Amino acid sequence: MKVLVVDDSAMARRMIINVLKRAGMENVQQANDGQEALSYISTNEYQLILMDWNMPNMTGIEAVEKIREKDQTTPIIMVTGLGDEHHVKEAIKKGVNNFIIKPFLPDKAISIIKDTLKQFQTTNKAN
Amino acid sequence: MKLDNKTFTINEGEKNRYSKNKFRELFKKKAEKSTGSVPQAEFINPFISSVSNLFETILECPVMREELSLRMNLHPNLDIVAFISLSGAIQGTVALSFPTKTALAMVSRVYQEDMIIVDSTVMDAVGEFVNMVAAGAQSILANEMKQKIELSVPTMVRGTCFSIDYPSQATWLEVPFSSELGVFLLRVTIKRGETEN
Repeated sequence: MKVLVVDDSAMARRMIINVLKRAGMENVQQANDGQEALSYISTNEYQLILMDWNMPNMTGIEAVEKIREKDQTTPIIMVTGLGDEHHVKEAIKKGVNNFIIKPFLPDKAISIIKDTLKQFQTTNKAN
Repeated sequence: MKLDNKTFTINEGEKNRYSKNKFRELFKKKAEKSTGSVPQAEFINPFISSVSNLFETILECPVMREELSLRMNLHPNLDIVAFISLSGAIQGTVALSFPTKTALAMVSRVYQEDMIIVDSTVMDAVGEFVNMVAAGAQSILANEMKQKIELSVPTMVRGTCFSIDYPSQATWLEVPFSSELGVFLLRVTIKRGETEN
């Protein structure tokens, strides 16, 4: 499974990658912002995208909007501290599938990732 | 903000010149003159909870909160400062200030290796700390107010030769913290903003 982690903070990316490793996901690419993520997505196929919200150049939600114009099937999890109702509603409307709220406990994050992937597998099988 | 004797830091000179009540009255007048109102305590609590949550979750380290004080300006008295601005339903700035020793201890714990110099890795991590603190508080406040609050990307400053002129004549609420990783300061200046739902 190939995963893309998008966050402008190297520390945040490292924390997420540690979680992914614990969940058995070793094939991880990293992007610094939404623009870089779109550039990777244009030439790679990912089975999961983990996206920060608040980033310079292009925010995570702008990147999600662009991704969803072409791709409806890759699960996207927003990894952000912005867990209020307004942001959650906006994210879901634009195509985000789940949320990991920073700061997160690794076990909680793994559980959200696994649940999201399971939900996608079930939906894809049904289709 | 309810004002009581505990909410003020009084220096030695002021102690000699004024009684606590007299000082409190003077401070309140100054704050009201500069901002139109004294900052509301309800706005600081989510930031305090968010700092505790960050330390307990990411750094596995409980923090001790010291006495809150009001300041008329942001003294750059610590080595590293990270800022984030808030806009929307509330407007203001949150700043976390660290001595180098504390910043290095915190980042060493996250990376599980000894950081001995303040480099881009350390500054990036400090920026992410303030981002998580601001976002945690933003979520609490936005849900309570049922209005949208946006955050800027963090700005990090090293050194003590700077001054903050925004927001003009703001009053800062300052909360010192201590922990096994060292001391640090949370500073917030905030007011209710004008928003659309």
